[in-house]
Amino acid sequence: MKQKIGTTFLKGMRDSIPVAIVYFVVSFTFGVTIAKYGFPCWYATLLSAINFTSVGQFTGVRMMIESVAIYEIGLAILVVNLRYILCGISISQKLDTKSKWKRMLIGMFIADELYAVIANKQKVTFKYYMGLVPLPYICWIAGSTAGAYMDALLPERLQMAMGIALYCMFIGLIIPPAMRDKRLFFTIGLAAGISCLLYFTPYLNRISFGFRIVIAAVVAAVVSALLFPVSGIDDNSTYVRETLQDETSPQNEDETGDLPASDTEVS
Amino acid sequence: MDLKYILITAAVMCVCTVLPRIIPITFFTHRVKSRFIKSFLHYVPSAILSAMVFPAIFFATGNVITATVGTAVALILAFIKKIPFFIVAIVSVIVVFGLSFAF
Repeated sequence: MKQKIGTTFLKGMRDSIPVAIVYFVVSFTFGVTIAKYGFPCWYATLLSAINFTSVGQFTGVRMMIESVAIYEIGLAILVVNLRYILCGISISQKLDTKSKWKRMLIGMFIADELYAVIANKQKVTFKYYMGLVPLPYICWIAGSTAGAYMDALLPERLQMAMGIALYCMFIGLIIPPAMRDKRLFFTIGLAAGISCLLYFTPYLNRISFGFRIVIAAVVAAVVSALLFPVSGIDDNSTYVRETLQDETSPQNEDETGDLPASDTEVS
Repeated sequence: MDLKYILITAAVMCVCTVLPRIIPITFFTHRVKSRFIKSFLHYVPSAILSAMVFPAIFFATGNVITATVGTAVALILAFIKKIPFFIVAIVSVIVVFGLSFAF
């Protein structure tokens, strides 16, 4: 039993290594931005340690540069973070624990990329999520600190090029699941289309970034759900296939052991 | 920079980030039974990530041409099986960096 839990924690850690690498790159860019706009370097460390969110931090800093009122910044951050409500409900369905404290602890460390790692899993254990968190969190803080102190050393071209890292990582995260479930391509295309429409259309483009993401995501997901409802049985068989494909490692009993449980839930 | 202003803002940002994170996951504990909601939750992750990427990715490098090429590189790499997502990100950055000398 102990070994099983340990494996789950370590498996989480192993799965988080790629995220940690990208986090270092992205938060490095954040640190560079902080230093460039004349904030003290330690401020990058502080913001990253207490926020641990890419889009929110960039939004906050951009508004602070223009000395926007604090309550307006708070409101903007809330709107940007509305997507965490959707992520939270979604993770809530996968979690094995009912403990409020454990759930709250996981909630503190919901992040887009960590969410993307577990988005394709049917079940997530507390230990597994706790294994996912430490490396990316440390790299997030370390990266922004390093970026803030080293911004003068980096060529401007490289700094600009690094701006695309976050988005390319998202592309790398959404395409592979869509290749297994083609319906997701429709969702991806629709969400991208609505987001672009809201961004480029006059008047509509006054909608803030946060609202734009929420509107585009909700509309795309609702339309997809109405057109292609997911049947529980289908879902499970895809899951079994995915498990067989992706997880070739033998110490996978804990996850396959969860299958009968999710089976009963579906029916 | 006014120290008091940036410290209070940091605290406000923290509260506004943590609340939407912990409230739904802590208090929304019952199982979703509705097939529609289940389907909705199935499609939401891809929808959120996709909406965040487009069109922001085209302005991410300060040059629409290099950003578009970077996007194309990322899409092509993502379609090739067995390429992990962080390789997709790193290769795209290198390509954009190389291109920035030409444009």
